[in-house]
Formats: sequence, C-alpha cells, structure tokens
Amino acid sequence: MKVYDLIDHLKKCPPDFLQNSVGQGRGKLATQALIADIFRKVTGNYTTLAGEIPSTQDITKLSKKKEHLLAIHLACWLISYKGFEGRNISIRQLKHYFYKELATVSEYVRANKWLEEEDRVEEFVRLALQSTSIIPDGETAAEAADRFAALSTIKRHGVLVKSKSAYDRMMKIRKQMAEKKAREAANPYSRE
Amino acid sequence: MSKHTKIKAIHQQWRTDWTAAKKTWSNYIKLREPLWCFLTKDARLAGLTGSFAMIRLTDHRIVIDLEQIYHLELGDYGLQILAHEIGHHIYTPANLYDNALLLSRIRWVMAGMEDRAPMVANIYEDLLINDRLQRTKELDMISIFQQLNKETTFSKFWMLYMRTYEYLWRLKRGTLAIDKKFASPVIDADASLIASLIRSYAKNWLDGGGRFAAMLYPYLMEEEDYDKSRVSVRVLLDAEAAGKDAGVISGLTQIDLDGIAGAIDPRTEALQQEGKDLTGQEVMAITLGINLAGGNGPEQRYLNPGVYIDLQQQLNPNIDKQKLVNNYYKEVALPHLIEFPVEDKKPTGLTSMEGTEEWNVSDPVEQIDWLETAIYSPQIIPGYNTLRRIYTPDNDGEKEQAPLDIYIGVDCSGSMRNPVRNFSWPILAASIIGLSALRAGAKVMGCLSGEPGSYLETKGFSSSEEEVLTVLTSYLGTGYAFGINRLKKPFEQPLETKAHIVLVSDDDIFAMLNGRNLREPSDHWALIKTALEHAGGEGIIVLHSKEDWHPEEVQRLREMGWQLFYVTNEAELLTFAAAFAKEKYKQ
Repeated sequence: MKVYDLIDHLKKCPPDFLQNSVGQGRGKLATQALIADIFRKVTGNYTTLAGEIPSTQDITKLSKKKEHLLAIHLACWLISYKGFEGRNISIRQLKHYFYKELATVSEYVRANKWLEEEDRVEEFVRLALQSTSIIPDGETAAEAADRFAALSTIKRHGVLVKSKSAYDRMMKIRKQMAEKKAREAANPYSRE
Repeated sequence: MSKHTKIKAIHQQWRTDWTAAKKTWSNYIKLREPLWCFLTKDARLAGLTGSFAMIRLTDHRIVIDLEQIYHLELGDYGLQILAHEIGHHIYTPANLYDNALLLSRIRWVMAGMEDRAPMVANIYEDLLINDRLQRTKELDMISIFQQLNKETTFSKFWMLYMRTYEYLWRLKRGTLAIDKKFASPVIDADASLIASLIRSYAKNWLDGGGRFAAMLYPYLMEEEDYDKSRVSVRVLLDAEAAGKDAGVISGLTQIDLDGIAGAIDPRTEALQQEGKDLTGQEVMAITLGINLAGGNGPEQRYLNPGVYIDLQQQLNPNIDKQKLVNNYYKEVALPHLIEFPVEDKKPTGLTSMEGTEEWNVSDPVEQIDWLETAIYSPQIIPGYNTLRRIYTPDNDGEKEQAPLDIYIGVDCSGSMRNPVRNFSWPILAASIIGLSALRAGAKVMGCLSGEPGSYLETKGFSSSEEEVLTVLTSYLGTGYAFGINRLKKPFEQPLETKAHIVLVSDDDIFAMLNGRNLREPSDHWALIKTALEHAGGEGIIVLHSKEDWHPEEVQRLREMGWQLFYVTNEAELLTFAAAFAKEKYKQ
C-alpha cells in the first residue's frame, strides 16, 4: 500500500462521516454498524465477533467525546480501503487503534483537521498503518517510523511543552526590548 | 573549456531558459530579460551583495551573477532559478508597497532586532515561491538545494530551513537536512509548524509574515546565531534590497492593525489550540504583547514618526531623511486639509495690445509706435499723424477671490518635542494649515523659533511644499519661546499682498513679549502690533495654556486685534486647525 493512495482515499471521505450521531435514525450515521462492518471486513470474519462489536451503551459513552467519535468514523472510512483486507489485522489491533490511539490523538487534533491539513492527513494514515503493523510500500520500517514521528502531533506537543519555558523567557526579553525601544522613542527630551 | 567559455555557455543556456521560466508562471508575463553579469565585480556594481541573483522592484529587473553561478555549479538550474526570481516579481513581494508592508509586519515581531527583518522577509518569500514551483509548477527545486548543500556551512537556521522543505515536499529525513549534528526534535517541531504556515498562507502571504517571524525569532536572537545564519543563506538573499532607491513609499504612516493581529507565535497557538476553539482572551494571550493603544496622532492611528522613518530607511537606505519626515506629517495631515479662506482681491492680469490711437504732443515721446506711424504715413509729422499703441487688461473682472498668504510661526523651544522622534501636534496643525493654504494657491512663510537661541524660516513667502514642510518639521529645542523678533523681517513694511499670521506657542510667549532674559530687549509689544497691521489679514495666537492666565497681556493683544485660541492639550490643535477657516472666514 502506498501512503499517497491512502491519503487520496482519506481525502475523499464523505462529509457524512463527520456527523456527530450515534443513532440509527433515517439519514443518520450508525457508528455501531460502521465499526461492526469494518471489524468484520478487515478480519474476514463475518459470523462471530459478537462480543467485540461495541454495544449501544459503549457508543453512547464514546459520543461524549465528540472528536474521538468523529475520528473513529474517519478511521472506519480509511480502513475500508481494499488494501487493508487480507493483512491479518487482529481485532486486538483494531480495538487498540480505535479506542486508545484515536482517543489520545483526538485530544490534540480536531476531526476536521484530519482532512484539511496536509500533515494531519498523512499523520492519520500513518497512525492507522502503524497501529495495524503495516509498512507502506517503498519504505523501510525505520523510515516509516521516523516519518510518523516527524508528523506526530503528540510528539510535537511534548516538544513544544518542554521548550515552552525557554520560549517564555525569550518572549519576556523580547517584550522588554520592545518596551525599552518605545520608552526611548517617547522620551520628549531626547535629542538628535 | 576555460572558465570564461563555461560562463558564456551558461549565459546562452539561461537566455534560452528565460522564456520557459516566464511561461512557468504565465504566458502573459512581460518582464525584461535579466541583467547578465559575467563577473562578480560587475554584479556588485549592479547591486548584488553576496547572492547569485537579485531583484529590483524599482525597475522590475533581475540581476544574475553568472560567475557565482559557475562557482556554485548551478548552471544546470537556469529554469528553476529564473522562475524563482520571476516569482518575486509576480507572486511575492511583487510590488514596493507589499514589500514594505511585509517588512513592517515582520518588524513588529522582531522588536529590538529589526535589522534581521529583511533577511526574514526574504526567506519567507523564498519558501512561498519554492513551494509553489516544486509542488504546483513541478520544477525540481530539490536538486538546487542538494547542490547548494555541498558548499553551505550548516547552522541551526539552515537546518531548520532544509527540514522545512523536507516537511513541505514530504522528503525523507536527510534528503536536504543532511548535517545530523543539528538535528533535534525542536527543529522538527518548528519545521512542521513553518511548513503548515507556508501552505496555509500561500494565497494571503502577507497575513503569515508575522507568524513566520515569530517562528524564526529564537534562531536569530543571539548575535552569534544570526551571524552564522547569514553565512548559510547569504547566497540566497535575492530580495533583501528589492526596494532600494524606490523613494518614499506612501501609505505606511498608519498602524497596520491586521499586521498586529497576525503577530502570533504559532508554537503557542498550537499548544493552546489543539483540540478546541480559542476564546478571544486566548487569542489575545497568544499575540506578542504589542501595545495597540500606543498609536500616535489623530485617533491614535499612526506610527511613531521614528518607527516610520526606520522602516522607510530599512527599505531604502539611500533615502533622504528629511523627505521622510515631510511625507509623514503630510500623510497624517492630508485627511484633515481644510478649505482655505479666500478674500476679494483686485485682479492683476496681463495687458494686451488692442490697437493704435493718435499720439499727441503732450504724450511721452517713448509712447510713439514708430512702425505703425510709418505704415500709416511715410511723412511723419509729430502730433498730426504719429500713433501710439493702446493696451487693455485681459481680465475684465472687477475683482476675484484668492486666498491670502499665511505666516505660520511655531514655538520650537526646549519644552517642545522633536517631531522626528515623537509625534508633534503643533507641527501637525501647522502642516494642515500650510498645506491647505498651498493647495488653495496661497503662499506660506514658515518659521520655527526657540529663543533666545535659534530659528529656522523659509525664504519669504513660498509656494514650495517641500520648503515649507522642511522648515515646519525641523527641530531646534532652544530658548523658551517663539521669538517675536522673527516678525520684524517679513512685516517691516506693509505687505503688497495681505497675509494672515498664525502663531503656535504656550504662555511663555508673554515672557517673550515682556522681553525676559533677552540680551537686547526690544519693544516686542510694538513689534507684534506693527506686524499685524502690516500683514493686513487676521492674526491668531494659539496657546497651549489656560484662559485665565496673564489676563492683562491677553487683553492688550486683543485690543491690537489679535485673536487668541486656547488648547488644554495638544490634540486640540487639530480641532483648531479645522476651525480656523470655518469659524472666522467662511462666508
């Protein structure tokens, strides 16, 4: 699977997938059905998995975190790509991806950004690949991991938080310099 | 092949590439072929100061240093490099005004380090252009940087720059950011934010300038880091001096509110924004603490004049500072120009010849028109057949309306601010009155005086805007008041053409009238009375003072015919300048 093909597929995600709805009413997106379909399609198991499909109560709990729920919708769309079939992806991997990885990253990125920003689109794709232990075509494991790390919002957030105190000090100096300059300019007794 | 032959070959190839480079952007671009400099010393004369190419927005030219191209082994990349330079003319900065505006926005963020701003602006423009050429126009810009990396001395800044391109173009780590000793998660984080910024602001690039400057700020803050950064990017700085020799760029006196709103640190924005909408408070917290209430002038909308001058001088180091000061106050004054008061005047039109009539013996001999007389009769008999010319005025109106001239005297003593460093309301008021008068066709005599000490005045009543503004916007800072002696020279005799007198001062003028601390005190009261009489127009003294101070002196002035206006703060001088015509002169 090529990353660019997945990016292209993800960007074609229908806008319905960004609906915040868990009901099964007419015209509404049925999250439970989506997840069930994806689990069955990817694992190739269409008969069992009853215990693996999230219940209505589970979905209702999920719906309290809107960005996570929408990210799951997008993941369902992404994973529906034919390249994910026959890859021996386990239910454990899918559940970890859906309920842990996406839950964490949704704290940092709004759902619409996954489709709008170039780097976020690629990050979402690579997160799915990493969670399902798939190495994209044309890359080694190390290259794929490095690329994902370079795009990771969580990692970037950690770096920015660590360096924040240094930046705050710098901005304080900057502000002092600006204020000093303004005071010098305003001094009515300064001469040429 | 000799070096010279190879350079000639590069020249031939690049001339061929020129048309294709233009077509990369559009089939309709009309730009002159670049100035090809075969030697670096010729390129220096043309304005290049280290880079292998440059643009000039003044004459829409591109200058190429072919010798340096040869040394850097960039001869195979003519299409890309020329397309890049064209991008500066077509895309960013594209024109002198946008160039100035971008620099101004970057300077807001780089407060205290404004000297770095042209380099930051250049790098920002390069990122925008190169990204468009690589991703949209499908030119191979990667190879150019790979070639440059062979010679470039890496620095943190250059590492950030290369890593940004790796993010923009989805390149494997190490494709361009080759020096691993500079690799760090901080640079990765910053590069990813810059890449996102470049993509987001590709269309409205002016709005991203402040953010970009905030990203680069930590890399340029220390002098050593800045010096190393310059060494790395020196060959690429093709637009730093794009606005040189452009003259004064209009429209930059007002505070750029959009620019200030965009002065945001994307790092802080990313930390605060992730996963939620920002409130107004949070947006304010992200901006870099620029004091929006620090504006000058009417409605506090204008830059400090010193800041304005610094910006213009950074754009064009050769510009005359006095022109900038004149332009600053002119631009601030322009929205407030008033309809100048006019008075009836007898016309002084030219006379033209209408015909001839008989010359009588009692008329002056020099009035005889000998030619007409000889034509009339070859036998000339004085008083009988001698003729003289008749002249009549070409204007048959009995009277016409014309504005009176005006004398503007401004107190420039020690308590007054230097109008170059601090906004000066008295100078603004004087500029409004002076420019209004000139616009109406009147002449103006300006006088700055701070006495005992010095003074500066125009050479009489002048029609030259430059001369008048140059005097009014100068600075003396001497003495304690406007020197009444200054009224002696222009109003020694009654004027042929009437004039108003406007004096702007504070209540130290009364001490001057009473002759305090003067080496040779003269009768200033008589002088000021005579001046008003000889001027023939209205006399107004605008005082930054209180009405109930010096009541006797005030009464004495009023009895002479002087009118006094009081302002309690300098901003009211603007109101006075507008009221000057309306209250006293409008029919």
